[in-house]
Amino acid sequence: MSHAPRTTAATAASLLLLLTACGGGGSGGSGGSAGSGDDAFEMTFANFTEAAPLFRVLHTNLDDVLAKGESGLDVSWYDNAGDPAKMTENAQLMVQAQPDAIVMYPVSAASQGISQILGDSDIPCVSVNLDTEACDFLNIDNRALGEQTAEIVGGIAAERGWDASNTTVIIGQNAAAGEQVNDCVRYFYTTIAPLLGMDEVDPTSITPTTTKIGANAVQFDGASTLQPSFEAVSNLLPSIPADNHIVLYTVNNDSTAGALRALEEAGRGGDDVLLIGGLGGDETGITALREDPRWVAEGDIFVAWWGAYAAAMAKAVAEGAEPPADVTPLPQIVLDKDTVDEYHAAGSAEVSKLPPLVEDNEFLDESGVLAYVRKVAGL
Amino acid sequence: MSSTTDTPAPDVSATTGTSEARRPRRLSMSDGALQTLLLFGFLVVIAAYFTSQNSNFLTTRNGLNILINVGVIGIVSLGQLLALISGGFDLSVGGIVPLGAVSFALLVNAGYSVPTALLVVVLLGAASGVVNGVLIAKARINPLIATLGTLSVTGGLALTLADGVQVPFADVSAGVLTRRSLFDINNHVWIFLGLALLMFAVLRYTSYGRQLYAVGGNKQAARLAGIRVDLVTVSVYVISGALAALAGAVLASQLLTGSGTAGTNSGLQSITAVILGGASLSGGVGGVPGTVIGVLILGALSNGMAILTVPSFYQTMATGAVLLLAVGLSQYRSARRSAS
Repeated sequence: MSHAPRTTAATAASLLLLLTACGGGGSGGSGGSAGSGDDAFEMTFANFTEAAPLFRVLHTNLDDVLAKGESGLDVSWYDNAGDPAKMTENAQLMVQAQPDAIVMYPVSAASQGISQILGDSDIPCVSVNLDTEACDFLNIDNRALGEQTAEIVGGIAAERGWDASNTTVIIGQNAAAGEQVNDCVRYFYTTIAPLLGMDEVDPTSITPTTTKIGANAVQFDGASTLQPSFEAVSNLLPSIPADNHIVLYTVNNDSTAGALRALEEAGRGGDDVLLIGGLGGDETGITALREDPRWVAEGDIFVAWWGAYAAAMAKAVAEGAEPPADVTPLPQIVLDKDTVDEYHAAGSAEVSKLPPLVEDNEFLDESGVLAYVRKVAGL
Repeated sequence: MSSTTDTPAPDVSATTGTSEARRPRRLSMSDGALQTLLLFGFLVVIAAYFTSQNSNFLTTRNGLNILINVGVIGIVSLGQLLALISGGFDLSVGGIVPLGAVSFALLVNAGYSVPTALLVVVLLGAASGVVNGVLIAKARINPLIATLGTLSVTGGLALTLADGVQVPFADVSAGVLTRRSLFDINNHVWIFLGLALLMFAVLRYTSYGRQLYAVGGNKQAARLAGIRVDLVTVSVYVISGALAALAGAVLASQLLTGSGTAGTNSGLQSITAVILGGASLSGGVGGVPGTVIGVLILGALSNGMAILTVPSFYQTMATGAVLLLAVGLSQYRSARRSAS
């Protein structure tokens, strides 16, 4: 019994030590990036998750760039961990920190709760990829990505004589990610269907619970990740005619890679039977676009630079810029085998050029952040 | 000692030479065999239903498909079975599987041979199991809390080692664990079946198996009978951790990539499979045949629903319903045993 206070004190000390050792690594405001003195522009940035490569790169890339000089930005990072509850907690913590601007990458389209928290704070905020009512919206155009990829893939398929009589389109959604994210796959189908003479459907009829689309397409839920996509597609394959050609397109390259493994495992991944449209512009996609004859298009969304664009937008908005009412576009382009080297350094996935700013995002230059990022990164 | 197909009856006296300990509960041979047969019947009904809806279900290729897909969770479930028989359970497999996957990918990419990488990965899993076992057996921490803690630690470690990104195999020949071999069946399916046979023999024919059932049936009685309960408990989590890490390596071979987010559901899935297979949350009951059938039922359901193009939301609900069914059956069996 007399040991209890000592034990408690020792436990408390150990916990304190552990917390000190782990300081800054948690979800709550992990260390600032490239702070530059008292007059630095302070920004809090809540990332979708630090656990998935697709999202983590927003953080690491901005950190790398800002670490190289006096950007005037001091960014504190928060990890939403793909969890709506954590996102809400982070919104409160970020408001509490009273930064000059907030960037939120929401984990769910149901963002009313954080919208209220952020709106009440009157701190300028930018919402990335998913709309948050109280914030200005920065996003890619998923519909355009799907349509442009379908035009490339569909054109090649049609040239090869693939049509409704001998082809199945497999599209992979992320049912839990919301309508905007899945626009790419549904508009992919609605664009490729007439090119290959398949059943034409209204895009709005393709929902998260849709599994069969017309007579020639199936939709699976790969949750944007490798393993569920592998399992879903390997389970689906027996229901697809064995001698059909296959066109594969999903919401991201992790999901596509999982689906591709399943097709290869089942012996249905041959160069002459499979065409793939990628989405992401990551190393997987860029390498495959260069080297894999089946991978004929890649929706390049320059995700690594989203952090920089979001930071530029947040600073510009805080300094009085007026963004478009609906959405400020992120950089994007659909690459094919002929154009891939225009945007990526030869032999690597490193971005060598970003698409030029367009009318709706030209104001991003006003903050100076984007110009700094481009200069430091040599773009 | 009487034996059952799915629930080997623990006979403490045979193990320890004393009959003073309270004899753990025992099912008759016909009960255990009947239980396994009923479970198999359930699998047949599922297969018949899916076949009636879509002829593509009952084909050799699709049967192999199901086996390929359940191989990973099957290996995890064999370890989970031991944990449940001992009266605990192991949630940490949901962290050890991705840790095994990432570690395996990093090691083979660093130039280690597949056997060496596999050995290191399995030892890593076993080490995690030692931590679990010591926390549960020595520190008397509830298995739920202890393995939940190691789940977070190992899962976080997997993401840290991978630096949050996928780790693709530099050389795809390292995916040998899932390559097709004998009878055109993938290696990991053979590994699963081989381990299942080995574990069946251990549980049924060795004193370790009898001790395990005795510990799960009544720890106090087992201790009084001279069984080293703590050692048996630790060993269970060591084996479970090692098998989970092995499953992680298999998963990495299957995907040709180590991923810190792959296999994170294996805790819930393996517990569902094992309970569905006849094990009890209160310990002392369960067996390999039932577990294998439980794993196959989960695989057949997932596969069949995909073939019937059931939306993923409904598939999730169906999996939950199976878990509830499994727990309900477990409770029913416990109540029957108590009544008899």
